[in-house]
Amino acid sequence: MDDRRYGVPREIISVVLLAGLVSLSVYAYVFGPMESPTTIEVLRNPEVHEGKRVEMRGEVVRSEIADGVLYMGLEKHGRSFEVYYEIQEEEEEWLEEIEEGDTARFLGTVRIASEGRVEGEEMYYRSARRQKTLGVLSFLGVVVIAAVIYIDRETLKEMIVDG
Amino acid sequence: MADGLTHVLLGWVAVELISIKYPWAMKYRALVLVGAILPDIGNFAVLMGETGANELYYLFMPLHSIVGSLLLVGVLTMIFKEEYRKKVFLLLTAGVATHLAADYFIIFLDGKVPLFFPFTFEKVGYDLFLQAGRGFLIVALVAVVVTVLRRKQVERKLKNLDEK
Repeated sequence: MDDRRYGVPREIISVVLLAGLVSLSVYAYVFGPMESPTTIEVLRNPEVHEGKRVEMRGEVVRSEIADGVLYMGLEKHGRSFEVYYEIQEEEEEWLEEIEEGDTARFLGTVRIASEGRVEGEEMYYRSARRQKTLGVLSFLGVVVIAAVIYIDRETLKEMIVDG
Repeated sequence: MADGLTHVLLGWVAVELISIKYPWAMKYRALVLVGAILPDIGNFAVLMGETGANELYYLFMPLHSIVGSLLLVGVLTMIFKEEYRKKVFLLLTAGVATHLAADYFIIFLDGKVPLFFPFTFEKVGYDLFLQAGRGFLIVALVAVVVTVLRRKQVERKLKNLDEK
């Protein structure tokens, strides 16, 4: 069978689609909004960022919940800072799970810059324990797909373009 | 992102649902399952450590958008023979759709899903399930069981009709 779609060779369509995909990646890489200012920039010059909304990430070294407020000590590249965040009711359960070694991302406003304190507006964390679970479950997912591909290999072989 | 297993299970749900109306889809189930993890293929960047993964984030970010993932599906479709391409494209797209829909409901550390990239860098989503939490996995498992039973039921009915 002539392997053309509306007279256009398969190779041309592939190259055009691939070029589109690469263009998207380059566009995202060049123009993607970077974490600005970075956590380290804020920690180096906290006074500059006082009162501003920042995004900060760090490793949890201390975590405590009292009166509906989460107080956390975070560390990034050896520098530590403190964050406090008023917990929403629906978040209470999962924020209680935070442990040392987790990674936290914090959107908030720098309130007392000199002490490196940040008042949060949004809070996410990635549990170290959950990360391991995520890795194991993702590996299992790949195993399932590999098994299905192996079982259906004859069907798939028949479908793929020769050479 | 939801974990890989949850994505695969939701892909399986999609295969079961599609095959109720289009029985041929079961023969090509691997395509839906591959589609279901396709937007996450950039995850191997984590092997380069946190810094490397952060630097490469935007290179792979388009795969988590509708336009980017469809382009990737298009590229993969070209590997297949002309007569299969329509089916391949639709099945891979079905898998990708389950992936993007699932990630919409995940609480992310890195924001949400840039669904409408390149038109906007804004990420969208609804915080419902924790990453690698049990909740979503259980929902996916129950959905697989329900859809498998449903398909079997439909098959039995059709068989009975044929016998009559």
